[in-house]
Amino acid sequence: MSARVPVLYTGRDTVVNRRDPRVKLLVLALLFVFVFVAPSTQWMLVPVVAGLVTALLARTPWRWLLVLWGIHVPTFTALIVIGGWDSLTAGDLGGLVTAAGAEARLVLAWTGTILLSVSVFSALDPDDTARGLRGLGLPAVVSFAVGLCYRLLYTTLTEAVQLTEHMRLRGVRLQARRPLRFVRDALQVSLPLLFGVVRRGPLLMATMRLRGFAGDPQLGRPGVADVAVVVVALALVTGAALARWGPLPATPIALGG
Amino acid sequence: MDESDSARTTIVAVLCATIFFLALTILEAVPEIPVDIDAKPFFIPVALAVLVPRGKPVFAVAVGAMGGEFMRDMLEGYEIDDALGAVGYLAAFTLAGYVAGDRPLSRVRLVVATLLAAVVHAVVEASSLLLFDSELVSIAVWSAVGNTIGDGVLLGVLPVLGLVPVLYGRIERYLGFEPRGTDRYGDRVAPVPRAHPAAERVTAVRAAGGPAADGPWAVTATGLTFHYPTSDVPALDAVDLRLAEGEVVGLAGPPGAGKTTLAMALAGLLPDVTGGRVSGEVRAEGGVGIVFDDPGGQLTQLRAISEVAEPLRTRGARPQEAEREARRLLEAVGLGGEDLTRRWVWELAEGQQVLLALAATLATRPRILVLDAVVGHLDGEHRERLMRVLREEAAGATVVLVEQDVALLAEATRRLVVLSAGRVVADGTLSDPLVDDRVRELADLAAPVELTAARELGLAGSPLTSQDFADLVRGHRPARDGDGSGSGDGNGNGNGRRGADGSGRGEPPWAHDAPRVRVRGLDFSYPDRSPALRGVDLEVRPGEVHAVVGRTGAGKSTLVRVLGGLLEPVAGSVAVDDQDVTSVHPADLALRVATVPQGADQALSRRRVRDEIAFSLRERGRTEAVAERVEAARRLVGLPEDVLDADPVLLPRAHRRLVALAAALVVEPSVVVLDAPFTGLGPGTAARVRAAVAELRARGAAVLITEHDVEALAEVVDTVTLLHHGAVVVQGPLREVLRSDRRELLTSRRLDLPRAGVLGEAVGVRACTVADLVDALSAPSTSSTVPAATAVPASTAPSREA
Repeated sequence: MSARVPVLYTGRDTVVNRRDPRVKLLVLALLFVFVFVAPSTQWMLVPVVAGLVTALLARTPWRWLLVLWGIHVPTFTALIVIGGWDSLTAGDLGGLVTAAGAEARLVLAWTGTILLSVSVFSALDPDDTARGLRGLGLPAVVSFAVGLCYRLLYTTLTEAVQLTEHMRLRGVRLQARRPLRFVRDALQVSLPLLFGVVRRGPLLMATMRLRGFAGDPQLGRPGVADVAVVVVALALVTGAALARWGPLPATPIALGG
Repeated sequence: MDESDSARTTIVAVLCATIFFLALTILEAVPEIPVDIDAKPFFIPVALAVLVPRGKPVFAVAVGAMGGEFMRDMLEGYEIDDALGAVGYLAAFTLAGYVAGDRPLSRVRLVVATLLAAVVHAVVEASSLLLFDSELVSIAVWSAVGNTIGDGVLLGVLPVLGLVPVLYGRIERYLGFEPRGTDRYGDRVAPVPRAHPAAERVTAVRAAGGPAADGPWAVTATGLTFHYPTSDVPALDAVDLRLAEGEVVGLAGPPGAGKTTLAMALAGLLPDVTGGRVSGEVRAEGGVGIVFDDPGGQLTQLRAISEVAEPLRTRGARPQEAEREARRLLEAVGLGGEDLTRRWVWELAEGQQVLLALAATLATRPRILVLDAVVGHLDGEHRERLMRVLREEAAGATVVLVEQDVALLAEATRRLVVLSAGRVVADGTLSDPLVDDRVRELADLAAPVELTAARELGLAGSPLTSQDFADLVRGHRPARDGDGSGSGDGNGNGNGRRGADGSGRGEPPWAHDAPRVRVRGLDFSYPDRSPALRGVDLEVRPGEVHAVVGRTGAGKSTLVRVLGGLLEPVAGSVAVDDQDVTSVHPADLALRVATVPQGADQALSRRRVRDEIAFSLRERGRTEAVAERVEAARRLVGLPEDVLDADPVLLPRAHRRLVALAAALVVEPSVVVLDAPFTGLGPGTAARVRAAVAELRARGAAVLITEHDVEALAEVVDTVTLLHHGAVVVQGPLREVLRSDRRELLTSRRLDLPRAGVLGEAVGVRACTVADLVDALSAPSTSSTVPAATAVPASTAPSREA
């Protein structure tokens, strides 16, 4: 019985898909550094713009972007409320707006990383992930473990959908309008899911041992475009670092002015 | 802990820790399960449960944790406050592992370890916020407090409540695993005897037959003995075996015999993947490939094309070469075409997944190929294709066919090895063990239909093929006039029920009853896919057993899901006792319509079988006479009594299937819908399911069964609907639909006659079952009486053909 599960990876033939997996992973790693280094709201617009451009180039499904960004809106709200708690309790809405502005850097960082990581992973399949990590010098077992996590995400998701159906037929309703009952019902699904996964683990491992995995990544030398992407990403991180700790101004506006 | 244990623990720890984390995350992500459960509270105890008894593969668990966290963050949109969360997990698990590892399980130690993990994780995650911006002190503090309370309290409470020890105990037993498809009894359930009492009796067969070839040897096993980590009973017991190069060998045995274990031993996977102890020697000349009895569980890629191309790339092929060869192999196994090669692997039907696994295995160019009970998942056409692929793509390789299907063994092999309780109890040319009742009993093999029919006819001889049978029949009786006459029951009632008057001319008892299930003009389409069901009409009356047959992908499982209320029709209607099924929640509908989908045994999770069966009652608040109803359901499906107190997840797969069936039937439904109930079952369990269906019919339940193997149905079914591409091709009484002059139509829809029908055709009579065949060949020659269409109710009478 087949099941339909949402899949982020699109497998399209786009300029992002064609990039070397090492480059994609390296860009994500640099993004990780960038968001910690970038000193201002203006600098934090860089990953947002980069994420939007990547999403367009990779033709990432807009629903994925919207949903994955949308589920963080409560977090953004909480951040603003925490930051502006004093103003809020004092009834000072102006202060709350100021606090919101102060948290804008964090919100933008979050948004940029969501856009960029979702877009890159819509163009990076499990094999490429494992191959890219191996190509970056990680041990084979680590590359394999991460790649396997990715694959099993979908396998487990398929199984979760099927188990949900099976449990409904056994009287488990899984109706959200009764939250406490729902949590209990969700646990009824999760336990067989766990056993299924544990049962499947050795089988997958045996299969991988027989077929081979994560040996030579076969990636060859990166192309010119790949190198260019890395250079640009490195330049941005370096620029942000110089703006935070070095001679560059913290805001590009000041730079321009 | 020796090296193999360490390697195995590393693998399992990574998988277990990572996957459960992901599984709970998935619950958050599935739209149908709108819950927001943080996976951590469940993840950490499980990781510890894996960790504690296994020493210190701490780093492996941490890698798994990081992998899970990494993927979760990336897929959800990388979270800033989790920026160092993965590092936090690494530190947390390392500490927790050192606190808890290498010592006896203790709740206090677990609480300390998990609290420590929670605090470390919280501190590291809060630090990441301060690293981001030193002004975010208030948010960092809130984050740390929240994480500590959330993780710490929950993590502390769970072990205290006893959940961790419970999980620990079950997972620990489970980690003494074999791959799916291998059936092994739990310790509390009738342990497999070291040697079957009858084993000694068949040594003569072994001595007489011996290996069918004289080498050179592809496989040599000498005194091979193996124990799984949690068992003192050997899974393989002093196995001596030689397989010649290019030989095709059948391997049979009852559940728990050690067939898959032997296959894994040949592939060198013991004990690295399984753990445990090995002694003796096993040597394989060349690479070994195994297609396991778990169609979806052995697929490791997202797309079908990648599944086959990856092994090629691993072996050095360039991407274009790998893709070209992968397409060729996919074409060879019948999965060619852009639509199939680019499809997500989980969207393929079970039979297609088997063929995909075969193609991926062939891509490794194995010199020894093991097919572990996979043929039962295939419909007739796919089965033929598999045999052709074996001839063309695996020519010269040694093939081990692990099978319980005697017809297939007779067709494909010349030598049969029988395992029982880990020992080789028979090994010889195929005909020797197959005609020996003692060996068949040991091997859990059904008697070949040819042999059964010959014996019932009192013919001297042991035919194993239709030609042998025909020759034997012709040698014992005058040639028939070839008019296609035969008995059957003439009126189309199946399974030996001869109609109300017993003459074979009357109506079935349910002929004039109102339909209990009424399907009218049913259409269903999956989003973005071609229609799965098109204008299906169907009725099932009380006491009627109605089979829906068709090739893989015909729409059978979709129909089952619609009947169970899990899918809503696009058009048309489905009513049970005149009530539209879409107006009822599936949980309520299941009280009247017991639906057992494929893979229902995967939903078992209670600690005891009796609780598992009672679950459907308790979940609905029906607490009266639970024990009596559980016992009645157990008897109905033929489950052994001593299984009731066993852990269902540790039972053999065949027993798990029976438990799932009993769990559905315990509510005493008026309609029963079974999706492929015989697929992958040995003859013993299949007979129990058939007996349960017969009992349900006798009680007046309306039963609908889907199957691609008509052989399993012939003895129990009244009426048949043949589906093809989601539409009804022909519908009517069993003997009308599966009659020999329809063979061309059936074959074009990738079905075949039951074996008795094929034999009947070979000797010029019409038959669906062995009883028909015996009747036809015993009776004086009479003209065939084709039943009048009006002799059966409207649901079946038209025997309509599209």
